[in-house]
Amino acid sequence: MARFKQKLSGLLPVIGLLVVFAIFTAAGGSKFLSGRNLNLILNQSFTVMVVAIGVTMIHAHGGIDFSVGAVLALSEMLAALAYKQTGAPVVLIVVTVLVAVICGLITGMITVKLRIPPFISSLCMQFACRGIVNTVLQARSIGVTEIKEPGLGVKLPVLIGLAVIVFCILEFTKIGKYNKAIGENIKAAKSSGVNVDIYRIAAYLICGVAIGIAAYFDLLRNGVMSTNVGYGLEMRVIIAVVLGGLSLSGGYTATMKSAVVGSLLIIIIINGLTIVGVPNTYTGIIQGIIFLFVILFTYKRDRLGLLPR
Amino acid sequence: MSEVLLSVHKINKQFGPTTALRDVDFTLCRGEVHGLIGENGSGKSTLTSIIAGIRGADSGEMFKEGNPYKPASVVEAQNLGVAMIVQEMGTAPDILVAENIFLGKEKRYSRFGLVSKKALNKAAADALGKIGAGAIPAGAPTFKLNPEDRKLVELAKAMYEEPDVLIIDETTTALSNDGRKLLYNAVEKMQSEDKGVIFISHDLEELMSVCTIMTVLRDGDIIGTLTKDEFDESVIKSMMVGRELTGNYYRNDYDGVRGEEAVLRAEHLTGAEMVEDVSFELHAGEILGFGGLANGGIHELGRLLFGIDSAIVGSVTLADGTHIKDASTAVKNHMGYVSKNRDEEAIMLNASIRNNVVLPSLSKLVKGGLVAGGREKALTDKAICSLEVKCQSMEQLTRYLSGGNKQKVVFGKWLGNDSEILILDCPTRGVDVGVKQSMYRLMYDLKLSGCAIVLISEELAELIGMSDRLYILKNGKINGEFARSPELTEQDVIHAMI
Ligand SMILES: Nc1ncnc2c1ncn2[C@@H]1O[C@H](COP(=O)(O)OP(=O)(O)OP(=O)(O)O)[C@@H](O)[C@H]1O
Ligand SMILES: [Mg+2]
Repeated sequence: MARFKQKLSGLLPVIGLLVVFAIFTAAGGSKFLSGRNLNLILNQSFTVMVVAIGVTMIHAHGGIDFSVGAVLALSEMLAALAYKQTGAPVVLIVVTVLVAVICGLITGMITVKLRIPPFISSLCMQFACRGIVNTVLQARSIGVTEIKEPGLGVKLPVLIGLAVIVFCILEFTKIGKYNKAIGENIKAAKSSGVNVDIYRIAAYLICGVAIGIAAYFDLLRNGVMSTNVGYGLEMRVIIAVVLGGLSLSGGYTATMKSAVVGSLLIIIIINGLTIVGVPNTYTGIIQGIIFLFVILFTYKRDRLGLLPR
Repeated sequence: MSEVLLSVHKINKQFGPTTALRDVDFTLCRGEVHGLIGENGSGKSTLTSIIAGIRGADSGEMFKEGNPYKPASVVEAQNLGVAMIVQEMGTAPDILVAENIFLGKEKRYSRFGLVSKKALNKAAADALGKIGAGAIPAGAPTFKLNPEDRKLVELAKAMYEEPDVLIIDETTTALSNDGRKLLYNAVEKMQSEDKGVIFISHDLEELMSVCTIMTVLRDGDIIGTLTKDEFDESVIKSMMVGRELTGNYYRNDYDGVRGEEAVLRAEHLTGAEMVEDVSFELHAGEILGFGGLANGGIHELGRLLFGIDSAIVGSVTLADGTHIKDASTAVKNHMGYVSKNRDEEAIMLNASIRNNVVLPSLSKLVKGGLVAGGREKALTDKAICSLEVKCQSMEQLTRYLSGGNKQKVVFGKWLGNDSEILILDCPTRGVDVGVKQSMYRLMYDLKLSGCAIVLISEELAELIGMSDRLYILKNGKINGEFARSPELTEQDVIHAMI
């Protein structure tokens, strides 16, 4: 029975996904199920999903990253500028990944070496990146319209490839296993010989690579770089992984499945609401409410919950 | 026979495929100190936690003083006069000591819906004072206390309610001599007031001296109940395990041979707390014991040796000159460590047995960058078999294991690790006699194969029984050294301790 319950709670996000999908199919009908809309859903989920996949590494050790949207913006901007200078398309992917990895390294170092809580250090990173972007761009935008946006034929394999790679890192390598152990019980990880500093920083680096990849495709999709790129991405990503069943305190609940399923869930909810006619301005509120509910469900808030069981 | 205080009738409890209790009948009379004994995983904690309202039974009835008794929660059980000190950490780390003591009962100290901190702290200080632990600060955050004091907080919490029934589950091993005294005082007080105590421990000697009656459990069945005049060590042991225990408990060689080579050298080691100017050499193939009072610095020494805490003065070096500056250096250099503070420092409760066991060995299991699942399984299987871990499968979360089985998992982490130096701080804590014997056997085999072991313990019998050499720490300093000898007695050693 206990085991059945355990299984069931693991499947809950998937069931949720199916239910949400069914509801919007019923409510939105052909409009929701149209090829164009499904295509849109995949495109919209792409950024969230790629970043969520990377961030899972950080959540695994109990960290959190509020800087992903701003880092995405900074890497897009620097890549666009570098492209304008050189005119070589390959510069785009090199610069986005490089910038995001460096940002990850800095956030990771600050968090781990200076022992600053990750939500503070990543908020600082967010302000810093946004600050640079706003200063450089002012109200301008940079266009990179010459390069055609890669279609789903490219994006899907990239997405699947990345998911598989990070899945393998998470499940079959020391980096993944150590990060989960750190999230579960950092003292036990230390006394088992895990170098907790290095492996936490490694998680930030992997997340940086994912953000860089997301930035590249996001830039090509939009065709221009402006200051509002990546706004609200961090919240959407956090809601996604939590909806997918990951515990924010870290540990062995960190799975690839939560990133993938959760991202689809949140995007389908946003998309579906738009289709059935809910004004765009409300979706923010709705996301907030969903987040609150998931947290209420997953956190033990009752004081009596502290009593031995 | 005196008046029946509490009785349970045909209690059953199933956890998935595991039958934890089968038609259990149990009676506690007034004035009794009723010992419960049985192998790890035999159902002692399950039975008592049902009585204390922590969990429900699948079927069966309970009566307290003749009335049906079915507490839905710990708080309800406490209100009905039943309090329990659990085997695990029963206090929440992130709230104040006072809040822990009155958890779920804060309303008493609230006015207009707001809890008065002052009233709460005062009542808590009062509760601590009552059991003689007034030195523990009631207003401190609980995580600042050491594990022993946290156990005493639980005792204070239980006693403050003046319960009719006090349940003490495997608590003495977490306490030093002073703490034990407080616990025994509480037990005596209960007894003198003609109330009842249920006392769980794996220490037979302790049980035989503290208890007035004893019930033996095996695999969820009640095997029998013995009155004080029937207490007999070998009878109880065979009732527990269902067969005669044979062979040596400790080892029976007394030559104290050890390898030539000193594999670890501590020089003028001084820690932030307690340990002061400790120097010694540990040789290959040697079991070096460290004993002393719990607050004498032995546990802190273990942490310094393994690099978890860093030394203020002095150093720990290996034969090749490596300085142990942190735990990851230690493990890289084939050292292993079993912490006394199991639930907080040594085990990941929400991870499977497998993930716990393989953690220190992952580097050795990697092939082409990936950790091979098959090797993980083999390693875990070995640990589960050699220590007889009672579990459903290796994927079971360790939080669902009985206390002693958790300890086996922690010990098992270092078995497949090819460690050359092991720092074992109370490694046999909470495990039953049968498994203790296998652990001693394993330690001895490790010694014979050239492994060096630092054995830190508060049990003198264990230290004298197992060590090649024995150091006694007092106030953080080495206050005596004893060579292995059949003549060495606990009396000799105690002299150096106090
Ligand atoms: N929450 C749980 N889920 C699944 N199995 C459990 C759970 N709690 C206990 N068990 C199982 O029930 C059996 C009895 O466990 P219990 O904790 O009562 O043993 P115990 O006698 O207290 O042992 P120990 O001496 O090690 O403390 C064990 O096999 C244990 O694995
Ligand atoms: Mg128990």
